[in-house]
Amino acid sequence: MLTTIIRPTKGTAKILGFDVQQKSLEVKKRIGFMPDVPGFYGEMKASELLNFYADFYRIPKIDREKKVEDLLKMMQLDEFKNKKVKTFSRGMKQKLGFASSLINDPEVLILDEPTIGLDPSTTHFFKKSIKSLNEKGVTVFLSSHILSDVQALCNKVGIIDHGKIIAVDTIDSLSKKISSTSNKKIVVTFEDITDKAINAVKKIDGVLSIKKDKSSNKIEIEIDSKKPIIPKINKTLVNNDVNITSIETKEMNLEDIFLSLVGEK
Amino acid sequence: MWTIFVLFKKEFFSHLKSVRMIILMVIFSLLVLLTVYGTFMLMGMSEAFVPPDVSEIMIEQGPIFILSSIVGMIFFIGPITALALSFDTIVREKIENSLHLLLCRPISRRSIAIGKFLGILGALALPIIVVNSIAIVVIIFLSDKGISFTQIGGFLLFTLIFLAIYSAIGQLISSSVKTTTTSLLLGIVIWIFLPVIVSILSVFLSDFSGHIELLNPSAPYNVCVGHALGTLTNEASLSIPLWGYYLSFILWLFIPLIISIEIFNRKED
Repeated sequence: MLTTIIRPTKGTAKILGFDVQQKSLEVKKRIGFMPDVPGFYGEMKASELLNFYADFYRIPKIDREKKVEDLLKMMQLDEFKNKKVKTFSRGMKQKLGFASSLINDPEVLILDEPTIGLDPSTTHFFKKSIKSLNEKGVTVFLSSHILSDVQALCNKVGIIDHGKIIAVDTIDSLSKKISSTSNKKIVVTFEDITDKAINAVKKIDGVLSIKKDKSSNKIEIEIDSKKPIIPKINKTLVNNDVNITSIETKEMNLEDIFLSLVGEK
Repeated sequence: MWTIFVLFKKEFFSHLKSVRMIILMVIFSLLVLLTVYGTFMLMGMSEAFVPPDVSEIMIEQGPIFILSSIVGMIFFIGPITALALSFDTIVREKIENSLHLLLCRPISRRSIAIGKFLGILGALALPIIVVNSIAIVVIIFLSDKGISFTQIGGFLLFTLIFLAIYSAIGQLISSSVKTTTTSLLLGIVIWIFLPVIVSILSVFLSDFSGHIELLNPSAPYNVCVGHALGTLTNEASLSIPLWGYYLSFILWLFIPLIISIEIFNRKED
């Protein structure tokens, strides 16, 4: 809808002050868009294709050709500029889609699942490029199911469940809000632990669950965030001859935030 | 206008370079060549092979008779050529997902539909004008009778409108369906059955046969091009006034075109 491709059934949306329905051409001039699976005219060469898209923005020929060269270089596709797009791999097509979304120097860049199905090095390339664009002042609007990517890239997130926005804020703010109302997790690292010690911790009022990681010397304890019981847990473990290496509060990541808002299924 | 031109340019060159277009134009050129050659052969044959009245018309009309023979061939090959280029113009973009990258450019949906239509028409017009012009030059060179620019212009103009009608029909189908196969099948059905259905209707509704024949774009094309070439000698013999054929010809172009533009404009892709 924000890209003006789909019309809203109701409501309004504005990008840079322009209504996406009433002023769709103004919006289109100022945005860049890359769909999750960009489709191209396979018979066209990479440079031809970018020149074709650039033509819509009436970019003068000299500037356009330079822009196309620069974008192909930036996307590491310069040596394939004269190859037909139908011969490109998935990652190369994704890069070409990214280049096409930048052809008009957009103020707002809308990316739909930009890293889905890509190999780790291409994913890294995309993340680096998105960050760099954002640092240059481009507003990046990213939709993704890969929450680690979102966490790494976004200043602000919106969580949608069943078509409705249920939260919009920075990850830190959401984490704080959720931590104050829900349970907290702490991770205890030790040299050795006995079942007796674990059972003693379980009996503490406010301890909700304990998960023992068999492959490492760690336990994850879920506690009621309203009860200050971390010192008590520490004392109980020490009294049960556990040599504690560290006790850390597990920071909420985006996945934890998402699951606490949407609920595990 | 600029964005329509950008899309027109892309469509025009893509079609001109396509294998499909090359095959169609080779077939079209061969058929034009055969028609010209065949008609010249007939004109030179003795009365034993050609009835005297036909031979008389051939000799009297000269190059015009040959052009009329080309028109007869275009009845058959013209619609399938235009449909073959236009049947997947929109639906393929939807399937291959290239439409999204086009729709996010500063171009309206209506402009996309118009640009695509003009691109197909331009790609059809160029080789058809070239092939027919060569044929006309050959005809004039080999015949002792002349042919006016009005006649040539009329023949080319009405032929292009005839092809534009089927391009618009092809685009209408392409905007309405979800797969290229459905679009192709519908195109073939229209090409084969439109004249058949109209003929059957004319038999059952013989009182209105003059009006019913207008349901097939070939009828107004035949009359309009005949009028331009001067072979339509007796206007009174027409079932409806001449302007009715012209009007029908224009409506055949604009109605499918406008519907196809509006369908594409209203659809969510």
